[in-house]
Amino acid sequence: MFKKFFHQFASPKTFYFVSQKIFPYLFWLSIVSLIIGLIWGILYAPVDKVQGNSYRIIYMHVPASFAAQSLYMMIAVASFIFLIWKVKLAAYVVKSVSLIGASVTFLALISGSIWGVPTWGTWWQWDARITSTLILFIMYLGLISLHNSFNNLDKADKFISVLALVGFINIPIIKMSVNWWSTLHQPASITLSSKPSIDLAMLYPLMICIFSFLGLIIAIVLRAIQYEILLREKNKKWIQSI
Amino acid sequence: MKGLLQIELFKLFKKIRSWLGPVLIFTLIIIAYPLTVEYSTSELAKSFYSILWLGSLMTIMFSTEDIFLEDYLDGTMDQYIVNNISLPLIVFIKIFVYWLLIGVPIGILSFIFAIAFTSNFESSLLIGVISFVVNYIYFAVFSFGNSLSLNKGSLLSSLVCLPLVLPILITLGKFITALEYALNFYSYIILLLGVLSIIITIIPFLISFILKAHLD
Amino acid sequence: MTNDYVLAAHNIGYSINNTKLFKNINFEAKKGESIHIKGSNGSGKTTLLRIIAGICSSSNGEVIIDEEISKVMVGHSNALKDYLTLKENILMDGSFDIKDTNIFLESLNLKNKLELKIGSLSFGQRKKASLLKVFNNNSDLIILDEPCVGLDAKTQTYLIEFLKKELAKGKTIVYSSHIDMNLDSIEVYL
Repeated sequence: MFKKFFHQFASPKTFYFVSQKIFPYLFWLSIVSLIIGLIWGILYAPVDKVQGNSYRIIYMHVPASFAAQSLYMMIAVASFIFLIWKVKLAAYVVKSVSLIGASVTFLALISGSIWGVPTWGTWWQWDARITSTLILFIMYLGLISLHNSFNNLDKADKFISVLALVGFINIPIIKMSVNWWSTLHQPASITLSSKPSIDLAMLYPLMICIFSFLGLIIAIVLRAIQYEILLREKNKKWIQSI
Repeated sequence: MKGLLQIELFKLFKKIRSWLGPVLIFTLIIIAYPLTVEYSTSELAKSFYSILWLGSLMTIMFSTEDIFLEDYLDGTMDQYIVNNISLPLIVFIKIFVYWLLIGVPIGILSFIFAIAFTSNFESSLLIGVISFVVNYIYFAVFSFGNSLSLNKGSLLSSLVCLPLVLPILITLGKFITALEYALNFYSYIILLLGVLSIIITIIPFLISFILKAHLD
Repeated sequence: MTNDYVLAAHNIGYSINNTKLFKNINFEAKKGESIHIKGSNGSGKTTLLRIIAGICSSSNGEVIIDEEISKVMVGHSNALKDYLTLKENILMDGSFDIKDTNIFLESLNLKNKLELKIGSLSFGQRKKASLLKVFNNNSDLIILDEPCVGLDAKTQTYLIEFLKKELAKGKTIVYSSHIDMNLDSIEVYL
């Protein structure tokens, strides 16, 4: 019985129609709460003692990097499911999420850079978190380029799943090793990795932004997966009846 | 298995430009290095290690270009499968043979150059040994990258796999610091050997899965 | 094998990117029988032969071959190394002894080419060299993909006569060929 439930869940057709229903609610809810969160954060949250008004970029930066990492988790889980249980839908997930993940990571890197200028005076730092975000970006790019280089899509799915899993194992390793490395080079300066204790008045809008951004991204992901389903299964009857 | 090893060794040995080329390129990089800095022995030694590690990394990355591509294209890989030869075994042997003909000479040259730059026999010996270990890891990782984009320019995925070896580079840096200040460097050697043992066992199976998927 | 079929295929289909190349292919072969895969260009003959050889996997259906059956295959690519001589390539192959192959080398006019690199042989000579493993085979199943391409008439006749003798010895042959090889084969259309 559980298997039947799982099989239904894994069918592209079910996924298509279910996400068709969910999408409007998710999308509009996320957009509205994101706008609320941003307005609250940018206009109404208190000015930071140390950083002044420039800290407000975290309302864009933190949601973006959180989304970037969550999407990679999603890809890793989907890759695992695809390789072990051969669920085709999981392969569609991996393919569609890689592009979105790359854009979000790029956003996180850019906003992080912009934050760095007024705060530390530099565009870039080689600490653990920033470097591993850069590596994440390269991994996303690798997934996209690998998939695009194949004509045979079934083969391409297998390969990016393998690459995604290998990269997934590597991300914590890189984080640990760069951390290890940077402790020698940057003994005391404040880095991005230490979460400063944040005032509640700033925290609430931040939380709203994080979750609503994630919701928005997931809505976009659903659309992307739907697109992938249409593309790959175009010969099936249920699609031709749409 | 011994027969397979001899066959692959012979095949690579005969393809002289595939193994002698990278070794010569590595030599060229190290020899050219002093020309790029103001001549002063102490300054040379500072960046020497970085050049050494990066030089061997890049050389090995480019030298693995042909490792599976040739067999894939000319039908030899099909024959391995038809004759029921274990694909992971062949992958392991190929990586080993490439390491033997390219990685080991680079390791020996690293030892020699280290003596030339630092005049310290013991640390040079250790550098040579570490170079052997690390080169094998590079061969394994870049062969993996190579196998992923086998039919579309094998260098593409090797570049993508470059981030995978970053932790190795960081470990090497720590190792050199430990050497210079005479701290306990054995832990780094053990760490790298541990990584090597994991990679030696996993990579052949991973690569043969990918190669089979390519042939499908 | 419970029945005496060497090779059996049930309901084989193959598709790429959800478009079907072929489907519902069924055939069986006993010892001493041969199967001729026929079809127009691009119909999937090479793919089917590779599925039988175990290199590709089919999208549906299965090919049943006993595990003890040994195979030999000559496909479109020669599996010869350009930078090695013919003699070295034969030694690398290892599945047959260079002494036993002398008769065939003479008949195929390759005896005096042993010390030449494969890169300097002509297309037809390379094809003959790649067929050496068929002439020297110890296998029960012979798989050939367009074996006569590039061969002159004399060699073609020689090959066909050889294959007839192999069939008489009880071996099984599966092949694709645009040229009729007169082997009394079961025909499979794609």
